[in-house]
Amino acid sequence: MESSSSLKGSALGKLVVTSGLLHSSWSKILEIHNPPYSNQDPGLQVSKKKKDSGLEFQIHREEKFTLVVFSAPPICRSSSSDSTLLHVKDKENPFPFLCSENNPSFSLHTPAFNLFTSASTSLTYLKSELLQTLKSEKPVIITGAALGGSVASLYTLWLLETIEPTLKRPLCITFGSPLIGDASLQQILENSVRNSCFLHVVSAQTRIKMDFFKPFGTFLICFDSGCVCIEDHVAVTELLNGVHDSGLVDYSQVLNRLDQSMLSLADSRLIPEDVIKGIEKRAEMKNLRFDMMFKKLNDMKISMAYIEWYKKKCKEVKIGYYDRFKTQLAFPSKEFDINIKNHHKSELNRFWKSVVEEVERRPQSDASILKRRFLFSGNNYRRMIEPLDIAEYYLEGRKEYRTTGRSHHYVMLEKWFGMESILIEKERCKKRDLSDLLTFDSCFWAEVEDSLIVINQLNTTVGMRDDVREVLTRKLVEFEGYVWEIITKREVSPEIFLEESSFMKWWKEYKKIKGFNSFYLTEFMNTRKYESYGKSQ
Amino acid sequence: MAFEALAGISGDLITTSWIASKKAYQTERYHKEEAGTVVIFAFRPSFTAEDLFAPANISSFGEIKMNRVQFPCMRKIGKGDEATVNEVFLRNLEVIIDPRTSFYASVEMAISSRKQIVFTGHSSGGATAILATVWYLEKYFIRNPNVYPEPRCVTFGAPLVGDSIFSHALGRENWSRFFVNFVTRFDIVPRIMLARKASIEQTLPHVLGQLDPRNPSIQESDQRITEFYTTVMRDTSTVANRAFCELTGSAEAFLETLSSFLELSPYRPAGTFVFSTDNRLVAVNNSDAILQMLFYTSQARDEQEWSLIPFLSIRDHHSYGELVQSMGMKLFNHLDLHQCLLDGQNSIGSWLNELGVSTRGRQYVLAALEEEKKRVENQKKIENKWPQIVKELSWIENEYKPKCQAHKNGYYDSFKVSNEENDFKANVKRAQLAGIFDEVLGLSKKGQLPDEFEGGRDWVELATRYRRLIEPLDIANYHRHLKNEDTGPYMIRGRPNRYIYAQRGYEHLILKPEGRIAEDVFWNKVNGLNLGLQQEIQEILKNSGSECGSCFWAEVEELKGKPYEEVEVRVKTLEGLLGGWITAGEVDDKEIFLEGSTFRKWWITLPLNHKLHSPLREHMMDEIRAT
Repeated sequence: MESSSSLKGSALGKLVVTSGLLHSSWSKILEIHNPPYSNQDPGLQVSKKKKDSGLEFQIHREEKFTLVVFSAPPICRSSSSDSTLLHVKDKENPFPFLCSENNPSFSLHTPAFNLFTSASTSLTYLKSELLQTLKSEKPVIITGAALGGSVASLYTLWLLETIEPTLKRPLCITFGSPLIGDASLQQILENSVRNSCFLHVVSAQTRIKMDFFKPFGTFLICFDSGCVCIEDHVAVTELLNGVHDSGLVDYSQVLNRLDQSMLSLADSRLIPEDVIKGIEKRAEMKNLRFDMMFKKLNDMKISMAYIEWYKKKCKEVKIGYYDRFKTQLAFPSKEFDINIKNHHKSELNRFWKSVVEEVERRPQSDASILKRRFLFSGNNYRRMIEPLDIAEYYLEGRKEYRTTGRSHHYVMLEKWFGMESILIEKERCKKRDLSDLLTFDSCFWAEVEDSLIVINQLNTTVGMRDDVREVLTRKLVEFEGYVWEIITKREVSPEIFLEESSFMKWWKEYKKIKGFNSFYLTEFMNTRKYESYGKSQ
Repeated sequence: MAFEALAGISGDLITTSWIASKKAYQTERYHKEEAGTVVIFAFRPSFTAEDLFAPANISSFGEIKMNRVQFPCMRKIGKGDEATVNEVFLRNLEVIIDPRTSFYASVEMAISSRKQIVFTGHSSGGATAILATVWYLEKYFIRNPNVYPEPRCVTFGAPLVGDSIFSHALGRENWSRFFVNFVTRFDIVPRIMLARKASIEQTLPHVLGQLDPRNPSIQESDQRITEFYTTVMRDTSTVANRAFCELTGSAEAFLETLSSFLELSPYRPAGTFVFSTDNRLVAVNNSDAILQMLFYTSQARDEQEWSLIPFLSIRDHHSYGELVQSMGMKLFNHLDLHQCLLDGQNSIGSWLNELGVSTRGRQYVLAALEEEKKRVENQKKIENKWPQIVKELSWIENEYKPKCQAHKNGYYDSFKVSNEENDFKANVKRAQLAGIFDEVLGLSKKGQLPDEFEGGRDWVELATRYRRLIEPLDIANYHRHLKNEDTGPYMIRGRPNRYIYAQRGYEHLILKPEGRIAEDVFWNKVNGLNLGLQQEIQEILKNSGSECGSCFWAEVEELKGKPYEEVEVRVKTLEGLLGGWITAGEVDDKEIFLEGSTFRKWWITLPLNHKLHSPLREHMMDEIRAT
């Protein structure tokens, strides 16, 4: 039996052909290249010709959808492989929103990019008009042949910035167009829904040079006896890569042959077996990666339950889980502690690092599709586990964790949570018991450790200069202010006041240095008000 | 005869049904025929365009949603969306089933004498028969399946009636087996509903004239028929290919983008389809496979056949008489991956070949059947996990709960503070169970479980036990982490879908024999409390935990932070419904009235006047005396 990917590819191909969208697009492309003299199409709205650059476009408002057709002059051979590098920080870059953490820049096909920028004024106008159309629920097709199709692709990419997930996505259909982006752009789009907005129609005889420019989107590859639709870009490359073939393909004929093939009785295999095998293998890998992420999320909740329990047990012996973990690291004795470190914590770290990586492969504006479920568990994870990483860090005798030691995935989790949590109305109850609260600032303990280091410096350095002493003392006061702020906001766990905690150690030392002159904490600490902090009232 | 074993209906009864269907041509609406212990109702077909597409219906396929009060089973239980059917067919049924009609009286009479009913019809008469059967199932059969005889529905060349939810719902209730649809190989009528109304409007009246058995003068080369046939088959191909891509999950995002440009018929085959060849009958009951077959069996074997097919597509609509006559002499096969060979003589491959399905087409049909096999495998995987589910739930029931009760606060409150090792153990079990139930939910949402799974009594009961026992722990966890403060109330932001689906499954199971829906039952109870106008109360109770007994604690947590005057109606609703929940087993009264329970502690703080009139005063006597 034939493999299922090949069936899917040909089912999708047939679907595209019987949809009639190719014919609708192609007939308008013919029209823009050979305009009919007399009877003007009543649906035709705009027709602009830029004399200097040669880019032209038309809008056709059809009954079911709106069609935008781009037409460009023939490709000039000498510049056909030039590329333009665009960085996320470039002012001239119209596509900064496409850049991701992993791919801050990408290159575009210069002739297409120049045509695109030359018409930027009229294209901006067109953009707002199309957005209106999309908002009215009418889908939009953007199309063009050869270089016109490349500009159509660029224009679609640009339009996609402003399309919210609730709107219908536009579809860009190109016919025999040169590729427009490099490997970075391919990577950026690979994991994005934007990739689904491009349908490139190519004849199987065409050979495209793919040494620098890489394919993205879905390809409809047309053979004499049928067609296949493929999204897998490795397979597309395998099927189409070759020496550039300048022979012009008449897509009117290609489309007619496709129509014939829909009715034909012949069943022919169109793609070699090894290409199919590759497609299947990659699809399986991709599914697995995604499924694993969701399945593992649940295992991670179990690990979190263990750590939550660990935290509870530590509190019973008057030491916070942070300090317990730190002393146990130095002198491991109980299996429970070792298990926490070697099993649960490292599993959690590995999982969340991979989640962050997955998200970073996506374009910035897509990252928000990180499900709320992931977002909140990620935040919980960060607040619970990062203190343990901090304990390890300072035990190795290092300092300044927040600025030099923090793992990138924590930074990102915090950033995403911050972006999302603004959207939620918060109603924190003043009376609520805080005993299970996780300190909001997951780097709190790093601040404590750095302050302890400062105190140590002040206490042990002989003959310290006054100005140095003053700088260090100011650091301590700043820390005190920070602690006071999170106490008044009720954002810190009451566990920091446990007898054996590093924070209490800090306070005792700090009190010695500052006497009773400290600004905020003195009364709160000396009158033992902290004992009732976070208790329900 | 093997046929009877599969379709539950004898060859003789099929013959009688066909004869009755023909007699119905001459009637106003239907023809009734008694044959021993069986009563046959055959419906008259119509061959006018207005009887295929409701003239006032502006949708592209003349479709409409089924009314959930009248047809409570015809929807997806978890997600809740109703089945879609052809509007004219439904209106037609409504006229027939009006209690003042002779049809209604005849059905009542047949039922009172416990006679089996067969609903049948040729062409659009078959569509009426399908809906009449659904009506019988919902109105009579479900109320008492032991008393009312199983109905049968036999159609000959009927157009498709409902969408994939329609077919799913029949499968879930285990009703699909009552429907047998005969299709001669080229008959266009079972394919017509897959075409867009707009694309066939012009040629439809002419073709219907040709299809009408009362003026059988078909010409062999009729351009309008060729045009009609080509259009229908092109749209059929689009629907079949789209369905195949969706079924096998390829290029999902691209398919979604592309689909917003396509107008796709919602109609899908439902029940068993029997395709006929010269010497064989082939039965299929997988809707996805039937859809592929509707396209591929109508393709030509060679060029010569090709030019003839449009003519055959009309002629075959008239050839059910021959089919029925020759039925006894034909071989009968059932297309089922579990029992049949794929290749060689007397294999699925050879039967499909006889039906004119090409090699490529055969692969599509087989791939669709293969998906059903995967669904069955998925169900097995889940069933393998039942012992673990039962084990964890039993631990909670037999170990955890009694120990917590001994501490006088109950497992909800114990879990909320989580100071004991048992609380931690319960938390691990909660997470393990959530993993299993979320996996089931994921499969069911993607349609990767057999239709019957969702309605299975054993599963629904297990899920209910899980929901009642574990949801309180989820609520406790939610409030322990103060998520109500940074995420919002549990009922709006926090309630996992696995509980919502479990709740709906349970409600469906217990309410369907009464033919009622959960919303109505809930409002009946609330209105019985006489707290004010339903409209106002509806606004107040939006997203309240009183919607479901296992959310009792979520409502308590929400209410306890608010002044009594603000939430008086909600408090009274909760108290009013509590008795019912305790009786039904939704809430454990051994738990909530314990001394240390959050509920009791909060209840004490309510105003004295309220407490004196509360239905709970019996349970709280000590507290009232103390004040």
